[in-house]
Amino acid sequence: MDYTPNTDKDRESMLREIGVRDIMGLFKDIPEDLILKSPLQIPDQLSEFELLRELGKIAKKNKKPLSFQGGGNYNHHIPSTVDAITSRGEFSTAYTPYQPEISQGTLQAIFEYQSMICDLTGMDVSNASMYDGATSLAEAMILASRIKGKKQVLVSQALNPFYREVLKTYARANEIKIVDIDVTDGLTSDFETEGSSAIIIQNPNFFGLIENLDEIRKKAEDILFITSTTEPLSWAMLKPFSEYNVDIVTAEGQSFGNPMNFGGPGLGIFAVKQAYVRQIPGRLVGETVDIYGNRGFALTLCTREQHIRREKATSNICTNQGLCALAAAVYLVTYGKNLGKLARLNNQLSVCFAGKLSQIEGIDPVFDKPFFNEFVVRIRKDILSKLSDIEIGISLEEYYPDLKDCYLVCCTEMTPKEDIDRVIYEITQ
Amino acid sequence: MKLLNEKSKSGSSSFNVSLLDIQTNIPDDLQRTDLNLPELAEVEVVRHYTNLSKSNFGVDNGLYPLGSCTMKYNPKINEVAAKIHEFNIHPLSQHNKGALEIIYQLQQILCEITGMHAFSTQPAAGAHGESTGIMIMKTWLEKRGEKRTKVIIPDSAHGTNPASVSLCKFESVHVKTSLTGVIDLDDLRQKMSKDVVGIMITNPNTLGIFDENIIEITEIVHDYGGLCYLDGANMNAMLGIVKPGDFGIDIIHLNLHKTFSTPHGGGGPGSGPVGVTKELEPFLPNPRIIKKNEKLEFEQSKESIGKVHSFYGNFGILLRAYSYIRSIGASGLRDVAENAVLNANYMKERLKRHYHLPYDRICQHEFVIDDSLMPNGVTTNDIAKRLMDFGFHPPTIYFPLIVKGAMLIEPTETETKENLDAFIDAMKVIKEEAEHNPEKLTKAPLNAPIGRLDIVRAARKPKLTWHST
Repeated sequence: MDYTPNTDKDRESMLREIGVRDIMGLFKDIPEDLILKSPLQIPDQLSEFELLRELGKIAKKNKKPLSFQGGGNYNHHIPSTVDAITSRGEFSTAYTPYQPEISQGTLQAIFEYQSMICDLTGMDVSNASMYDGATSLAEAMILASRIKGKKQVLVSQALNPFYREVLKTYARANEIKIVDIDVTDGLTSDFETEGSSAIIIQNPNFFGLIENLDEIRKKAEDILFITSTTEPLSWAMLKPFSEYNVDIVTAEGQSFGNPMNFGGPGLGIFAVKQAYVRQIPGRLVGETVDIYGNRGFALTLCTREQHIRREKATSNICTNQGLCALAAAVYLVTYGKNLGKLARLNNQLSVCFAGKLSQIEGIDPVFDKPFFNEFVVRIRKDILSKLSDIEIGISLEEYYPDLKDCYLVCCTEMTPKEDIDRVIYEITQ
Repeated sequence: MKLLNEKSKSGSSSFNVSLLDIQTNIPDDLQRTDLNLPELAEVEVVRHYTNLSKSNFGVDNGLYPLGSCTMKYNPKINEVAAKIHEFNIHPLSQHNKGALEIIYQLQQILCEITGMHAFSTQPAAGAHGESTGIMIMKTWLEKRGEKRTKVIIPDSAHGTNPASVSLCKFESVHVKTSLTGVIDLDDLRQKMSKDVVGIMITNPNTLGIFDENIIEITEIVHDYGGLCYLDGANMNAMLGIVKPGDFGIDIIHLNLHKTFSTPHGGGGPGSGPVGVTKELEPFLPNPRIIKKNEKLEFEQSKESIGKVHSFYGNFGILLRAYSYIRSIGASGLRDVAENAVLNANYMKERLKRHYHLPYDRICQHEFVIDDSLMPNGVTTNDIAKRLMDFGFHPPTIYFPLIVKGAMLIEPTETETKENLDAFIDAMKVIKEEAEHNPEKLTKAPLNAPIGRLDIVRAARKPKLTWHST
């Protein structure tokens, strides 16, 4: 393939116009001994059908067995409306809406996304989105230590272990100290707030359990309360975070209309109370009017951002996950109120699967607490060997040495009762 | 256009879900009592967004010469590639050989293109790549047991550079641009010291000029024991022509959404892989994807800066970039650079007859003009808005900051000469309008989906959701 439309004749006449003899005359600023003398060692070009054949061969090295993996990335159905809309070139091939007069599509869609995130979380303000759940949370940690002036944060060990690693990376760079809070029986244990700027809690937590947010807020009344969610579908069923007086809500929004894609792109959700609006990282879309008084939308509060503030910006992030946020918006409005039912169905399937598994000798539920669509079971090794062509969940031992032989199991609408019954059959036959 | 919540009608949502006869385990007092999402029939959802898309301008609509953003055509085959069913797997799946192969092969290809030793594809965007690169500098410094605090940044740099430096608690020190549009070597020498961790360079720089002193610059920094970081935003001009690794670069980030044609998505998702020298390889983010005994596997390095993404980066974008590179091959990559530079120089030569060109010399993939010759107080912003009426996306405006009233124009290689000529003609007409009919410009756009927007008002009393009043 070749996407450079200039013909030889075009090139000749353009070179003449410029006044150089040949194309290399345009590269004369490059020191001559740096100019490559031989072609790059990359395979030669392919036609579309050759390329698809080649990619198909590589793709087939992946396999897609029945899987109950969750833990930060979820297999949900994507309504057909989502692809139809996000495939439109007017959306997908535009960039950050620097010129609002010809970017109203992106801008209004993001404004509506921000509004729906606030509907779900109960927060006052959502940004236009960030890279993913983990980096959103890292930005929240940095924001908290900046405004509170204390370079220490409390982090629950029931936070997704990958997110804890990302926090560690950012904390090291930004010179913040992380204090781990232990987990007791699957839930965040007691903690002391002194010297810390914020507490970070995942809900539902990494084990799928619903944390006691009321109690945590009471104990942490003098510091910022930051939450992380990897399965925001739970929001359609659970009380919104605003009811627990949470200060900053972060989440991975992949569940809302974005494919698993081996973990990326994700959608970093970031929402705050009104009080922090001028501290928030990332893009924000706001309503305004044009010179004729018509309603329109534009990027706003840009004085927080790096193209104006440079080294004093609230973050170095200059883009959002625009198309993923658009997918989330289309997803949310396609379901509308039925999103609550979808959440309930996910919960029902998980309750059903957990119940059936716990009746099998050699499989034990690990935590006896309310969960949303993920739960932890201990599986005896001989049983596990019967499930070689099923991905039953995420092995927890690597991240929690105490949880030997334990698996985090997730059900969604993509693992219906027949799939659950198949697993039970394979184990018990 | 009406908002979703204004179109919402209770009971009209048709996307049904059937529940099972199973009791929930979640106590009532933890459950929400209402869910306030808009309700629309599916056909109304589709029409809403289809109509919104009509008020948007993408590369698929026309010339989009947004400087330093490389808004080239996004081949449709890449979208097909990214949606191959088997690639959509869970990040912790054990059956991931195909996905690992794509990432590994892409890492190798990016090494070959840039002359770097190793790449990580974890960073999700350019600025994410920058902060990852500065974290590598910081961790490298810690390992050497040195205390250095400053990072040198040219005054023409992208604003994200100093912001990334601040994120890592270093101090930015700015070096001046010379009269010829490159780094002022005397100023650089003066600001170098043993307190400098390194330099962040953009080359070709944001004036579109390849810094002819690049070897000298990296040598000066290395002589003081510092590292050289290249912001690879402008890699499009160098493909197959020159390798940054050959001019002394220690760390580089690339923007796959710029150079390697993945769609910008209205702001993202992008991808900002980071490449390093052999010495810095152990500091790349964990996990790395490496080949050991002919098998691809994840590897954790003890010296790594750690993880910077929930999983392995924006795999969907890596797939598109891989598809692009394989479809055009080595000779196609060189064609890209040659034609990107040809198109930019052609436009520059023709536009300089009508507009002020502050740095009149050969450019690479982009160039800067300004509004200093505009009569009747017409500004760069007016020119940008008027360009919309001619069916073009405006260039990047008021950047780089070192040129007052700058317009940074990057046509890219995927435009035909006819498109370039049409843009040049429009710019000529605008210049004439500025003389004879300046009001037309200050009121522009006249044919856009909406009139000129009041940006000040948006910021003064921010209304950021449909709930706020």
